[in-house]
Amino acid sequence: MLRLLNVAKSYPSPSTSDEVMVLRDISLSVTSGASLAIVGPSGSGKSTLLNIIGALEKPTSGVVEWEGNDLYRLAEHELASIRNQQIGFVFQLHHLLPQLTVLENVLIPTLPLKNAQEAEPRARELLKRVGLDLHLHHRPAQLSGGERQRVAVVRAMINQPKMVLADEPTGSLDHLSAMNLADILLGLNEAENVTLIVVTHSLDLAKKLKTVYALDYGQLKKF
Amino acid sequence: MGFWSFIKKSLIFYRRTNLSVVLGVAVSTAVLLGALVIGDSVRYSLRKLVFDRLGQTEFALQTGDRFFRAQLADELAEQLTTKTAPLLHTRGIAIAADGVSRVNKVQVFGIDERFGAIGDVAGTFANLAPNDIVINQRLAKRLNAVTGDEVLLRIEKLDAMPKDAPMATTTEISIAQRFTVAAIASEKQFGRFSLRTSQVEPYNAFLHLSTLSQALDMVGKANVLLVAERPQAHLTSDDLRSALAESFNLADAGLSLKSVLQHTTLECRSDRIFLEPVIARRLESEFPQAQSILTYFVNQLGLGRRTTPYSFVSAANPGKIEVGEDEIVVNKWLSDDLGAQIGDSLQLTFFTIGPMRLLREDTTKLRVKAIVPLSGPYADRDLMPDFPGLSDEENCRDWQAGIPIDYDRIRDKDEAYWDDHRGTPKAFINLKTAQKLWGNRFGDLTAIRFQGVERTDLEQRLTKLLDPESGFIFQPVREQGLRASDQAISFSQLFIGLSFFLIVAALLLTGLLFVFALEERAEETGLLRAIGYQTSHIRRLILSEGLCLALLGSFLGLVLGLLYENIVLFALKTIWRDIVGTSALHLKVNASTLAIGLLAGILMSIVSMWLMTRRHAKRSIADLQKGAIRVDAVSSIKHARSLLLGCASTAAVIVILLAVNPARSGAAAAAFFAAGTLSLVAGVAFSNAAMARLLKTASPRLSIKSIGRRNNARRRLQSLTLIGLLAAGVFITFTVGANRTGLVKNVHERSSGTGGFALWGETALPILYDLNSPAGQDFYGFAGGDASFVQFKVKEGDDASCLNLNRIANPQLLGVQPDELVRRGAFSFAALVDEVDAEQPWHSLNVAYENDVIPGIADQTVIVWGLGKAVGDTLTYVDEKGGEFHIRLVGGLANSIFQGNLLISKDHFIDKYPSVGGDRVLLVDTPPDQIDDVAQKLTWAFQDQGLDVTPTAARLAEFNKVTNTYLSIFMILGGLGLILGSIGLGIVVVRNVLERRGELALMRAVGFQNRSLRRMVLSEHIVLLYAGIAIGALSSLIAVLPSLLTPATELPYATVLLILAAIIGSGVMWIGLAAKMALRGELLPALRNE
Repeated sequence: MLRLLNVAKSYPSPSTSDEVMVLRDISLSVTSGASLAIVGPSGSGKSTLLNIIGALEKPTSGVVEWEGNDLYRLAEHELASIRNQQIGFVFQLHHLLPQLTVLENVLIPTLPLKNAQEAEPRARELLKRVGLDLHLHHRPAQLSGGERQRVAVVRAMINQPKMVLADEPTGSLDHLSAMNLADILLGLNEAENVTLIVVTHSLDLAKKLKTVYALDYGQLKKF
Repeated sequence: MGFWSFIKKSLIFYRRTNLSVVLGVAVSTAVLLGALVIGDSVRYSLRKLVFDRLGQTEFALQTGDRFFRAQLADELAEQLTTKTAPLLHTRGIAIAADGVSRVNKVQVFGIDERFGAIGDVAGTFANLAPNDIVINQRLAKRLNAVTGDEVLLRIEKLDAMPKDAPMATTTEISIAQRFTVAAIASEKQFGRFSLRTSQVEPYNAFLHLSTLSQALDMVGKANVLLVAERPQAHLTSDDLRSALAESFNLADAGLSLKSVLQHTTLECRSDRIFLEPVIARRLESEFPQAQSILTYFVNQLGLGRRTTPYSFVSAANPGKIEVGEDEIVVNKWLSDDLGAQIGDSLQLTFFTIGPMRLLREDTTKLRVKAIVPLSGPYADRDLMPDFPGLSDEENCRDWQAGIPIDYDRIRDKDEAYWDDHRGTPKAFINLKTAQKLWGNRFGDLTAIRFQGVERTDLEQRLTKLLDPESGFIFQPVREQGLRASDQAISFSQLFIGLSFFLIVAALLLTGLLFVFALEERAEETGLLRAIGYQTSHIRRLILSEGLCLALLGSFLGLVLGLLYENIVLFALKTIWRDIVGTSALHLKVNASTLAIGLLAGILMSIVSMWLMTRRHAKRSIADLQKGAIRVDAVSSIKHARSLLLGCASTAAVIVILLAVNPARSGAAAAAFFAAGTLSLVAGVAFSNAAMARLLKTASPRLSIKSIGRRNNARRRLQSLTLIGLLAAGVFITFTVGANRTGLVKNVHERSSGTGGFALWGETALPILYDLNSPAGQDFYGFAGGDASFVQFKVKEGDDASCLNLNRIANPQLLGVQPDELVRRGAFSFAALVDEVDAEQPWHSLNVAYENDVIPGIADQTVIVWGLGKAVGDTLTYVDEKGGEFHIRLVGGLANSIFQGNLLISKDHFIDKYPSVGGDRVLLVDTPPDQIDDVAQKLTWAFQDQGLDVTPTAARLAEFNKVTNTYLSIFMILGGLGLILGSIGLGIVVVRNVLERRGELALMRAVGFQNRSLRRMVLSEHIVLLYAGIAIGALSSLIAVLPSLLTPATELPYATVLLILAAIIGSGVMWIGLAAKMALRGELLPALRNE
């Protein structure tokens, strides 16, 4: 389903003319329905790797194959389509739109497909599964941190993606809320057979997933 | 939830930020819409003025010094089945009862009820008693007169005989009479009546037609005929032509038939005394057997020492004696008086009249061919023309001829001859000889006699020969007026131009506010991109939201625009009245204009938003999600390039400052403007280099100020844009504004716009003599000392100066003797056609082109703005006889006192308008220390001519006032734009502070007080404000250096300082407010969010 071959990423240094290598020669294969965690210290390139996997950021070298296609040879609109329909994102900060209700926030990814109406029953169902059926018409400001993040998870699932990428999804939550969210993610992974890749500092969360990788000085190793 | 629902929720949620965007759009739309509505209102007002001044008049016939039967109006009314009105029109001078208030250029109209009917105000002009006068509001105001007051009116006498013609009387060219003001006519009561295309209300006085015609000895005559619109069927020029042809008769052409020689002969005479050459030739050709006659008044007939004074000599041949060209036949009385015998050589002495009634006494010698008795055909007193002041007088000593008469020379026997035989010619000469001696531009025959023809039959034949269109052209005055108003100066374009900075500033503000609103929601954009929204989709979302804001803003702008338009209209009627010359401006709002304004407002705002946000949707998703602070990159090459550009521009500025003498006008102005622009470029380039350096190098000493300065460098492009915009705004606003011209001090120079003349004079009644000659000065009782004059003939037309808003087709013509200006080397030219000698351009006026084209010179501003033409173009005029001729614009004068007029040579003028008598404009040359004295003497001597004397410098300043007012408006609106721009600076402050809340929170956390942070924010942004203003002001100072050193310039220092203070004050206030607002509340939570 997903294959990374010798992926590397570097950034220009703000002070010198040298390049800063963030990822080096990373190769990885992920099968459908898998769940894996990537752990590592701050600045190790975890988020960059997740962005590359999620078609958000182009690698400096190497190949990212998505279902047999070289992801970064696709046109921008094709990448956008993949992000919209095949990949779901959960960020450390929920990034809920304050002007919309919970239900509407969940439906945002359906707008480019113009199928918000058809997707609404699913949104309600998913929100019910994560215990937010009583908060459908609340605004993000009326929710707790954990609840907001649960909305973000449901938003990631709304278009029935093949893969969900979560970048420090529990980073801004207390331990109890974090574990609760982890259970929701894993529950959805199993129930919807969706591949789950989580970048996290939290070993407790990482251990809940089937495979754990560590990113150290830009290199990926099995934990 | 759908696309629009999402937008709606976003609009409501971010309402506070969005409101500011809406306000920005509203301001730009309001200014644009206001400008468009001002255009509509001015155009509408000008159109309305056409109806105010013409009433129902659709066509008008103006014949000037030719008079037709007033009855013609009724005949045409019947034929055309519409209303008509005959008018007698002349000029006059009105003096209030107190004798102090005096108005010189009064249009005096003889009218009756028919005029009131055309103006739809029958009541005002009905039942006017012989001593009643109706004056219009403007005249009443100037005279401070109310109904019932007495007004003294000096009226120019009308005479069919041209004032420059030989024997025309010059002593009584006006009459004075007292009238009682019966009514004051407002513009709704036809008080504005005028056949001239101008928005400026004339001074009008209306008398009953019978009163005026009796006073002027013109009973039953008229020289203006108004034809009203015909509601049932549109009137055409052809309708009028055929109706006129039907009714036109000899009397309308100023001709009459008189039965002479015991009713055996009919004689055709002209009211103008001399039969016009065209008519004379036509009659001679149609009636070869007719007898052509030229009778003239000679000063003396002499033989040796014996002389006979003041006698008529005729070129008739009553006795059918063959008279050779050098022969003369004398009657018995003359023969006896002189002792003349056949074969003697008689000397004839007579006056001929040159330009400006310059009398020349000529003589000729003719040999006596025969002596005839004073009886039979030789005793024909009808051969004497009806010379005014001669033929009607009982005694020779009562003669008031237009030539000097020495009454002492008139003997008793001469009186006796006059008593017995009146003006019976004493001698007869050959017609060719007579025409050679006495023929003039008005004609070479005084009568034509027809024998054996029936009066009715002759009348019919003669009428058929007359061409009514010769001088009788009905002008479609309404159509012309409406066309002139439609093509008038576009106040829409003008105000869009004048408000340019205001509109741009509002648009930039809109764009900035929108960007600010978007950046507040950067994470949202990042999220949308992350979850698969395409860039185009996001852009559509952004622009749709923008469109909604633009729609809301534009509708609000519509309301504000009408308010703004009202304010501008009020200003145009009051403080800016100089540029419109009237307070008769009315608000007019066209639905189409509103739609255009709204659409333009929306479009401009959307484009502005798109330009400002086009990069936003493309930013890195990761950056957007993190709300990352962008730091504008800078490379060493770019830094070096900026430095190089700054140095090169500065070097060029120094070279120009050293090499060009700012006191030299023309080229120096252009060079210094270039230097100012280069200085602007240098300032911005150095600012760029300085900021790049700040970003690349660490401060030697870290301080709160250095942190502030470096913050500016972090958003270098934004900072540079602010500096550049402020600098450019200040530069253009002040550079343009500083070009105001005041009272010029180089007025004595021949090359200046005054031509070096001290005074400009205009009279209501013509000056018939050359004021440079002792005879002329003596005639008017003027002792001019060292003053000398250049006199101009005037053919009235429309004012084409910048004081008239309408697009003029035929400006007033001034006829001048070009040599007078050549001799003085007066005035400078802004443009000339190729074939004109640049050294002596005035000479070109003497040229005559083929195909009835003559050269003309006008003020360049008149050519370009008043006429919408260029040098080399031609204008079409109609001459006195109804023929078309063309004036080719061969030169454009540099800003001169001739604004509004078109100059042609006097010879061409006389050729085209021979009946226009005397001169009505004069330029006076006098030493500077005598100006006041000469002006006073002139005013006194020519008070009966209604002379208005103005110093030429003041006249020029009057025209400059219009330009200055435009520049003031530009400066004020530009200043408002800059003030609005300073609000943009405030927005930038808020945006920068919010973006750096975490950084500022950290500074709080490490011990900085909120006050210190505010000072830091203030200082870093005020630097931008000061830098922009300083660069702009310095560059502007360099650009206007030539103007500063020119005495002609009247720099509006107070306005400039006021606007500068307002910009700085507004800028500091907005920056302060913004900093306070952005730093309000707890900063520390921002650290947690980080």
